[in-house]
Amino acid sequence: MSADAFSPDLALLALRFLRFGAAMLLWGSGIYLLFIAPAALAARLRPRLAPTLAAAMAVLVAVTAAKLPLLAASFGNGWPDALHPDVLAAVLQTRSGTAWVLDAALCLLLVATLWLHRRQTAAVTGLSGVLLAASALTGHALIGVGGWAVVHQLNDAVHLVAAGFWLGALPALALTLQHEGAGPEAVRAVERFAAAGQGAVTLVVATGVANAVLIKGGSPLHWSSAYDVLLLLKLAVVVAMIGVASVNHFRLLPRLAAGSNGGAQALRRGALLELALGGTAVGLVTVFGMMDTALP
Amino acid sequence: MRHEPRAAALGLILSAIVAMPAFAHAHLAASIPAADAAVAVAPVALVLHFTEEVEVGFTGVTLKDAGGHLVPTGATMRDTTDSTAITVPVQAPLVAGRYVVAWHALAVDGHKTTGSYSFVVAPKAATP
Repeated sequence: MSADAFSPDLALLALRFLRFGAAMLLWGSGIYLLFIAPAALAARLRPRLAPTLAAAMAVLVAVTAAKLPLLAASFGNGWPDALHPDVLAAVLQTRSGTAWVLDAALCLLLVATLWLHRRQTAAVTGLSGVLLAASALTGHALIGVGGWAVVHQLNDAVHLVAAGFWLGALPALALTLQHEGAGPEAVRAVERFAAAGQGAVTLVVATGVANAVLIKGGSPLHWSSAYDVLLLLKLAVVVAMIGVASVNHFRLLPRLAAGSNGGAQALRRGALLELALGGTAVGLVTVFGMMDTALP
Repeated sequence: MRHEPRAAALGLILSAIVAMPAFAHAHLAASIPAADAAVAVAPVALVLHFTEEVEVGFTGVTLKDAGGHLVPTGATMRDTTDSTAITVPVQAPLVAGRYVVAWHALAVDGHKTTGSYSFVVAPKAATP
């Protein structure tokens, strides 16, 4: 079974990426609808975003349902263990299992919001934010002991929530520009997003640096490893993102504010490019997460 | 305020270089008997110390003698004082010879590692 090209670990990797993507989309779009877009614009945008957000919720539920058997297959002896009751029970005893229980509970609550007529966006946004933050409870932030582990997890949670807002709101921003052009409400929404986005990027940077201090403590990088090649790739992607964001902010935003529809469409393409780069960065981070830095 | 994006860019680049998640795979830090050690008294249990906290349910060893025959071992137990260590009882007396311990570990962050080491049981020659 171990020779299978499609291993449980590869499937878990895909799941991790989908989970980050879906949670970020729900969280970022929700904040955009609730706090960035003026009320009238948000009301027009909501039905346009609805199919995407429904798909993201379906992805989250499917990913969570699939995750427990995949953990069993990964921790146990391959695919035959995926539905083995003893192995599933043993997985629930692990920290990954505990985190899964929390994930499953949050997903059930997400589904329950479908019956909410009012405040559904607020509920979905809050839950997806918690889901993103909860990612810090598993995985790499667990190293360290006592107080430092808690600081590390909180830091990771802020990092994810800030990055999730930045990336997750970009589709809603692109939709705004596509349908509203350089209309006054669109301009207000984009200006607000630009301000909030700068704050989010600052948080991402600050928590990223703190993360480095908490984890690495100054240990050297080894540039010959596959891990570090991926890291260099991510670095290039992040530099490109900053470049695109700067052009968007300092070249295109003034054109949009001046009422240029051409500026609006250029900004929309810029936002989509930023989104593509951001998705690539998340993908690279997902792959890093399965790798061991201690090995070449 | 024009310097803000440049500062942000620099910060992001720095964070991208250094701020990677911790990849806390569990590696073998020490063991009893130690790797490549020759012991005079056959051990009744193997103790493995890892570099990270491990999940006991998915961490264990297989013990084989020089002929490649499996030596029966009991269920993995968590060390009472150290969550990075496990104890595996050996359920058959070990005669003189080389033994290979193949271990597999699941760190609490969900990462798996494997490895192996060997030790020799060499009782002091009985004096006539």
